[in-house]
Amino acid sequence: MNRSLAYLAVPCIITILVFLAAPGCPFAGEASRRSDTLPTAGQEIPDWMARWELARVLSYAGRHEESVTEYRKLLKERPDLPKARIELAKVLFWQKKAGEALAVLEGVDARQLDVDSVLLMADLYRDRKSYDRAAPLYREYLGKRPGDNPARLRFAEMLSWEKQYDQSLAEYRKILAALPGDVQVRRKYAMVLMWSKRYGEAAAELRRTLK
Amino acid sequence: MKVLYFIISIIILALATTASYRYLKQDWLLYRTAEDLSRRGAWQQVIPICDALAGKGFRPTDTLRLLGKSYAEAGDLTMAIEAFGKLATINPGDAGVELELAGLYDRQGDHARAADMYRTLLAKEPGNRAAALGLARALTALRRYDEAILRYRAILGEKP
Repeated sequence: MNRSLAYLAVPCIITILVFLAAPGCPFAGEASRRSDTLPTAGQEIPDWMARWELARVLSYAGRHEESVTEYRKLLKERPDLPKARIELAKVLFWQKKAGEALAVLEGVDARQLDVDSVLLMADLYRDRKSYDRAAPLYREYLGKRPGDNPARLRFAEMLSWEKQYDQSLAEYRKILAALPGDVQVRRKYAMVLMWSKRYGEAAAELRRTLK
Repeated sequence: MKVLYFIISIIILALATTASYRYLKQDWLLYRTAEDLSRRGAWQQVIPICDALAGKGFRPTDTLRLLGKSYAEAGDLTMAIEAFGKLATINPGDAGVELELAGLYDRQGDHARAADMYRTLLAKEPGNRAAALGLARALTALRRYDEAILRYRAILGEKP
């Protein structure tokens, strides 16, 4: 008798507990009531996040040296922040420390690079005459931003320095299709035509710039 | 047999309590529903419930807070500011509400007003890190970089 009562009592107690916990019950949900309290934004912001913001603001203010110091402190504490590395590289570039900027960018996983960083890296390799490294980066960048004619011009110039005239001319033609009235670009195009010994075409292009 | 009667009595009591509660405390039920919806992120569904409850004056602090948060999460900053503004009137000096209001003004693009609010809050609570960070961000948005830098350095416990 006692055992059968115990068997009955267990489901009954569970039922009671379920009812007491149901949303309609006056005793329900008190423990969860604080969940809708507002987060005190900022209280949970760790120091490294504040330092990152400080590094950015220092760069906006043109205080690049201090900004670099803060980025370096940040990356010492949190080396797993590729975005911070990219930002540091940009500040170093503005400081005209191209070598250091490139070294920082080379430490970033290529898949993490944003489109602007790809162009920055391409320009930095171009400036260091590492054309073989710059070329694929320019292609990647121009594939994503085909309308960036200044970047395409830098790429076209680089190809011509490498004596890859046909590829260079193809890039120049794309620029001239977008900017047919740009005399300076057409003159550069004519120069590449001359270097590739296409004198007749070069003369015709130069003539167009004199009209 | 007595035990059985006792258990059945308890079940009946629980059922009766729940049923009467559902009948008598409908506003509470609505509020709990709104809470559950907010936990699930269904902010648009929370708004009409909290709006109705706030209109009835049901637990104005909690309801207006949830209403303001719901508007903010749903992207209606003007209505969120209105709700938190009412809340600030009910609870003057509540740092959490003032902080939330300042954040909403900042999000709305009124960085100057937000900065003033953060500054007032910091005058009352100099150690309020959230207010200090909010002020630094608002000053950055206002392009008052030198002031913002000082604020960030203070947050990090560094001397300028």
